Amino acid sequence: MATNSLHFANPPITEAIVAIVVSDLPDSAVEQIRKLVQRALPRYPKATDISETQFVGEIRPQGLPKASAQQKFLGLQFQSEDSKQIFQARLNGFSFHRLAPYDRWETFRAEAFRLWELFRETVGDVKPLAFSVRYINALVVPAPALLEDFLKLYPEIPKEWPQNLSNYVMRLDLPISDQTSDAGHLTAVQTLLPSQPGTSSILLDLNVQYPALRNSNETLWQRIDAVRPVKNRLFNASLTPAMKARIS
Amino acid sequence: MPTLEVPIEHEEMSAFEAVGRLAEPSSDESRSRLELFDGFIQQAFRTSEFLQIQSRYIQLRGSLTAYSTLSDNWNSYGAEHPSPHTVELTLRLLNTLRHELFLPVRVIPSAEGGVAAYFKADDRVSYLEYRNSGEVILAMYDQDSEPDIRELTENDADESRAIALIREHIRA
Repeated sequence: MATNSLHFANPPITEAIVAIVVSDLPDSAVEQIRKLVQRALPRYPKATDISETQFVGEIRPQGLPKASAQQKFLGLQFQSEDSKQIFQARLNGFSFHRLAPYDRWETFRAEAFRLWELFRETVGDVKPLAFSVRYINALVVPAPALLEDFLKLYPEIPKEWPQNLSNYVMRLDLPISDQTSDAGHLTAVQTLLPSQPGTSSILLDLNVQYPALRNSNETLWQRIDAVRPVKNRLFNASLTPAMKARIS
Repeated sequence: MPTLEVPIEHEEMSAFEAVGRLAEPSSDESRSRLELFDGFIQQAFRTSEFLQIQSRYIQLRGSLTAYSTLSDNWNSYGAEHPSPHTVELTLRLLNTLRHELFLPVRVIPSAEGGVAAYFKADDRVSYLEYRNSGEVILAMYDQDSEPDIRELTENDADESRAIALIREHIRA
């Protein structure tokens, strides 16, 4: 099967994410990021702060204990009217999230690129350090059922053990080499999600990450484009024919 | 070969909870390994809107399960415990909202007897309360205007209507 384009009639994609990590921007960039509230209109009317609160407690043998709290602005999160599209503009990076229904790579990539350019134009020079393309899938299968009937990636359990899985969490970190880079990294997470009676919903979260130090903007997006066949190949190889038939 | 167990409705444990429930580690090394794993999984969930919604859904459902065990006078002011029917109705609401990726910030037992789902964005608040008496109350308010209070029914059409009104109010 060609892996550059992969299409299923009922894609199990619940969220697709393109994320770019950049060298930390100075605190003065906060003001620039806030300008995006106006610039992201009208498609992203809702903006919320992303911040981090740090609590520090100190107990000393002599003297009273001390405690302090500090809140640090990290960036803004923007949501489309229907909440299906989200992007984050942070002091340390950018991400674009498309929730279900997912259309296709071309539209997803085009919107991610448009917003990235908006981010760059607004905050000024940014230095990409790494990027990732992540597809989060919820595979709904009948239950009870054998995992191996639907997935090629699953935990192997010795036959002497109880065989019924009520839940599991599996995380795999694998180096990947392809035409894009030999320093890629795949993180795969699998677990069971809340599901309807008579079914199981299996999370298949595939995240491919690559370093992007000293990449020009053009190279960066060429490399992001080159991930498309990689993520398709990985996804395709994770499913059995029965699972593919369920989503076709 | 591993077999997927039939999920026990309302009771299945998710990975979100499971990570925190792994057996108590026996040494500092295994504890730090467990914390590292916990951190990895939590990071995966934190950086996904979809997984955060799933996680919140599970927390809300856990709260509902806890409310179903309340006794009468749970608030020491004579409130009735939420009836199983109001818990079921709230669960139905949560299931609908989960698919719409629009969840309440919390569900709480009602002092009137029943369960209420609270929605909040900035100063805009809305709640949908299922009372043991069979009344369904939708309230929407903010700092600047008079509360808009409506009496609805338990049927599906009113549930859809309530969701549309809440969404409109919260996202105004």
